[in-house]
Amino acid sequence: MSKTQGRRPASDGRLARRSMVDLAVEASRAVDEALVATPVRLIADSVDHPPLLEQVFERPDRIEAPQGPTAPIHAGRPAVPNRPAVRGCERASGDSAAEMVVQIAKDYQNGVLNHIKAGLSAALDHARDFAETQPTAEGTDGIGRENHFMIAFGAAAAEFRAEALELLKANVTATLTYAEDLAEARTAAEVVELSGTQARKNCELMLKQADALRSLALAVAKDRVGDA
Amino acid sequence: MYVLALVTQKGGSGKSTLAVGLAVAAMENSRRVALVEADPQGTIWRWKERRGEAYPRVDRVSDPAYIEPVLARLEAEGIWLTIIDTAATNNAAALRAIARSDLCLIPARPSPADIEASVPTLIAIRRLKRRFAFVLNQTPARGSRLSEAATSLNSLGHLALPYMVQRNDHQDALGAGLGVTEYAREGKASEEIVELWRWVLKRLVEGAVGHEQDARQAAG
Repeated sequence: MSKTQGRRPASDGRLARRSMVDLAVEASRAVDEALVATPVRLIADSVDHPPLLEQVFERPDRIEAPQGPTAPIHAGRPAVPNRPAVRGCERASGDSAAEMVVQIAKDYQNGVLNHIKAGLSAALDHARDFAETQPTAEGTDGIGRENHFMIAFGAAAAEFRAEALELLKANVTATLTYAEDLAEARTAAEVVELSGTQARKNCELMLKQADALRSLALAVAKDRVGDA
Repeated sequence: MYVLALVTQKGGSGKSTLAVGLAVAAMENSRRVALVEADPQGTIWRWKERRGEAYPRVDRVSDPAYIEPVLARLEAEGIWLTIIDTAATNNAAALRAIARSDLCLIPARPSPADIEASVPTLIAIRRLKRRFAFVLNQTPARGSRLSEAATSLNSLGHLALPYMVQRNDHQDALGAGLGVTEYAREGKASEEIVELWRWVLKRLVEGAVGHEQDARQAAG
């Protein structure tokens, strides 16, 4: 058998390759169209992003606390109905811009939510550890005290969850505003300015969260001392 | 301080390898060069660990909000060139890198996927009114496909020269913690990256001169 018998001509069985030059023309048109598109409308679609509440309120495995509020969160903006999926190059330009901006918003939102989630877990752990390390009176009924502690602790944790819910609302609103402003930014200086403002807002929210943590710890501690 | 950003959402386009190669090539002008890695993949960070030398300095940024403070600190420390390597996605870090750059380089291989993937990056760059150029990367040494890709990218914007041919020296240098100009000084890959660096430097300097002229005109 000849060595070349198994080879086929390069053109055999292949479809015509798509021209990269034509592709570049389409890409250029897509960029131009996206630049004249209204970014605010595209941003609004990020509201439809599946809520991350379950993720935020995922309960630490070691803590048994009552369930907190589970009402859906409204970000302070009107809901935008889902738009039908689009096809084709002309619409794809808008999609690309939307995806980019929405991705920015999601990245930021995920970061904030992870912070809150970590804070919530830390608060619960901290409160429990705090309560466990308080001095107790000799001869007290340990089982009864523990039950009382769990009830008080559960109430405090529920309070904290409600507080975290409010923080989450504020975060979602701030994130969407940030994303919207970002999309409307025309210069690099504006982006930098917006980023600084957002960092400050985020810092303020984290301070509120720290206050909530402290309140929870105090509530548990008071109950513990009173019980002792 | 000049800021050069390598951006594109296409993975495997060679951003990190180019960033390292250019940073080391730029050290021929002055050693005080920095790399800011905004890519969680950590390619440059690991390269730096293998390298074990002070320069180029490498800073890793996990939170996009830290990009500006890091750049401010590097400038205060006398760094004259910072190259930002971004992740293969259009995220907040990439946007901030674009916003802070004097020049954006968009590496693209001669493939339809790379050209298509550049669209969101181009939109961001043009909205932020940044200067940019494509770098045709990992190319074959010759062929009609190469010239077709070059024509395509030229139609979308500037195309940096020369093209970066796919050569093993780039990957081997990365593995050795070296720049390709250190790894194989006389090799073709080294020649190409030096030429590319000269092309980039010329644009950076021209851009700085242009900004000064604009400022003078605005003041006048």
